[in-house]
Amino acid sequence: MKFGTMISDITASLFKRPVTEKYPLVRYPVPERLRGHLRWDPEKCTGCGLCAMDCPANAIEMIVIDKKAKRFVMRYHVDRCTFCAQCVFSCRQGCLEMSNDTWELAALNKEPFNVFFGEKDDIECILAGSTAQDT
Amino acid sequence: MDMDTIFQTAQLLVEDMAEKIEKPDPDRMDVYMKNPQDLVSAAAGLRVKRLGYLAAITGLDPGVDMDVLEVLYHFCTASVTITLRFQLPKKSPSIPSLCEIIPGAEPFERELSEMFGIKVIGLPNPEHLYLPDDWIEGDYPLRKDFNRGTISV
Amino acid sequence: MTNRKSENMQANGKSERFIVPIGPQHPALKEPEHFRFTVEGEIVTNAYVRLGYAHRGIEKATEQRNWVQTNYLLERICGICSHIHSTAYCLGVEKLAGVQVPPRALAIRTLVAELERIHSHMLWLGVAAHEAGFDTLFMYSWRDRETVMDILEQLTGNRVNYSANLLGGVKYDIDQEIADSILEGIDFLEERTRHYLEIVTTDALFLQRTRGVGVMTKTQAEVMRAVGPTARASGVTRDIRVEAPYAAYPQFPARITLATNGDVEARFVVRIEELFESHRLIREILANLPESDLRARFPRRIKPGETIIRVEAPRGELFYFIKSNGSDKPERVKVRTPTICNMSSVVKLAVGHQLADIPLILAGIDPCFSCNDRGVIITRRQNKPDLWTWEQLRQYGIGYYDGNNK
Repeated sequence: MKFGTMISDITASLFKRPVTEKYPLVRYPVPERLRGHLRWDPEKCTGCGLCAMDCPANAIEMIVIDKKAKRFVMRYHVDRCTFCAQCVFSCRQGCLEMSNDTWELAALNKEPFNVFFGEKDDIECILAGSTAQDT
Repeated sequence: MDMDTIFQTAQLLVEDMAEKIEKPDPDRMDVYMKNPQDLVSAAAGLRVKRLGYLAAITGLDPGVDMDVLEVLYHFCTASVTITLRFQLPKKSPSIPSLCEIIPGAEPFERELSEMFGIKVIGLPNPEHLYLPDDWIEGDYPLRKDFNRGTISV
Repeated sequence: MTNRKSENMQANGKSERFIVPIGPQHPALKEPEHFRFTVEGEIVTNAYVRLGYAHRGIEKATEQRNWVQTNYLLERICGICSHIHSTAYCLGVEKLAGVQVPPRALAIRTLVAELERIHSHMLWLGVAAHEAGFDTLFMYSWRDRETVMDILEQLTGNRVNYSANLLGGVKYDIDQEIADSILEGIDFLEERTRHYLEIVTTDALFLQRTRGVGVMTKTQAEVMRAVGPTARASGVTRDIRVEAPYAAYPQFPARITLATNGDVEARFVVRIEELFESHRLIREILANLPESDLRARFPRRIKPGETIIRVEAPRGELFYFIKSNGSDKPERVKVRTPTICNMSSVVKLAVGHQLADIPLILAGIDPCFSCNDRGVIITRRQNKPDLWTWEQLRQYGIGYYDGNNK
């Protein structure tokens, strides 16, 4: 039976600096394996759609414009993504990657959460189509 | 008790009440029971022989076009799982309660009754458990024909 | 006036009974759950719990997802013991599909599970100390818990919901750099854990809150089907890692930790000693990490069949029943979490204790309501349930003050 068993911890802490991290004033390095925003390599992608099929949050959509000419656009809903990296491991071509530097994803409007991966012309084609549908 | 002794003792215990006994895995024994009324005596027998505690009760709906529901009582000892399987008619499924001999069975049985609409006879408190108190009568979420508000993924 | 009242009460042969409702939203509870304690003076005579406020219909939701998606859904059953849910599911589905998982993957799974156990037990140590009013221990143990959180973040990229498991293997490998930082962190944690063990077994003020409180005998624990550290604190030898080794536990056998007193102190001691066991296992796994691939190819469709898998989560035995019908979606996934088994013991133990001890008894089982989200259990001291509805209580109050109660 003792009293004040944690006094030693408390007195030792008096002479230490606070351990609180001063984010966002100081940005600390993130772990190498941190899973952040998805990245896509259009060169390797064959449009198989396995990533969309396996995504537990339905964050990936494959929009095929012309199947024969291999024209497709990948729509990535950042706000739905749970950052589990299943798509990265499902992809047989190795064209997906989760970045460890883009992870501060908060935004005040919805646009940054709707990302299109693909050729510039194809994306424009999709966007034109969706605005035509909306109006 | 080693695995073989457990299996032998259990087999002797339930043989008369069983339709067939299967061993799908080396550490599992599935007993297909003839009559739901035998549940209490079988469970009491397993308890007396110290063959496991009731680990879980699983309800199964084999499909919309089937007219039976299945109830599985899993009893675990060390690495062995003995499962008592009952087939109940979907129209009026009912099974006796185990609360008299295993008090801890109550939450499992109440879950079973509200999720599958299986009437557990002798349940001390048959109120709702998971589901809200004002849940629609006769609507059982874990049955296969439940599809209201289904989100297709 | 007061005297006359109390005489009246006695003349009517009634003792004063009140129901203290706690929750669903209450500062003493970390998660939504509703308790009703009937008290006579300070002593609890009846306890009632209504669970299910965190029910999310996960078992039904698995029927609409494919095998791969279900893994991540089940990982989110609980935020603290997420990896063990995913491990149980993966082990079960791999058994069903007949896929041989590479040994290195199994060892890494086990390693993450042990790290998770450390983080869960440290979290519990803090919460339980906080419930006992020992906030210094709470703050310091949580500060030290950051070490294991950092290790997990470095290893898998996330502090919680690690997503380390993949059907057929694991996602992340352990290289020398990570192994070194794990060992360094474990050395620090072991030293601190030894210090905490000394505190919880010697601090006079803390022992007044824990020693002899909420005693559960071995027979009671067996009858009430307690699992995990709660059962082991009462001397019940129930640890799935020892009884039915899974994943890499056949190669790295765990030793069971037991205590006999069955009070809240014993639950502290069992959990802290389990931390030492986890430290030992982690060192052993890192020293003998088998060399092999990390992933095996996994089929999209799984042949029809049923399987049962039991694993030892930080809170006790976790039970999974998985049925496949041959398609790419599970037919049925049944999850039985440890808290549901331990909850009945809380309600039973609460009776006869002071109301002030209830938070500690509740915290003693390390409840996880998100896992649990089910069950109403009532214990009765008398044959009749002594539960009053709000209206009855209101009428009683009105009657009391109107003097109609004579």
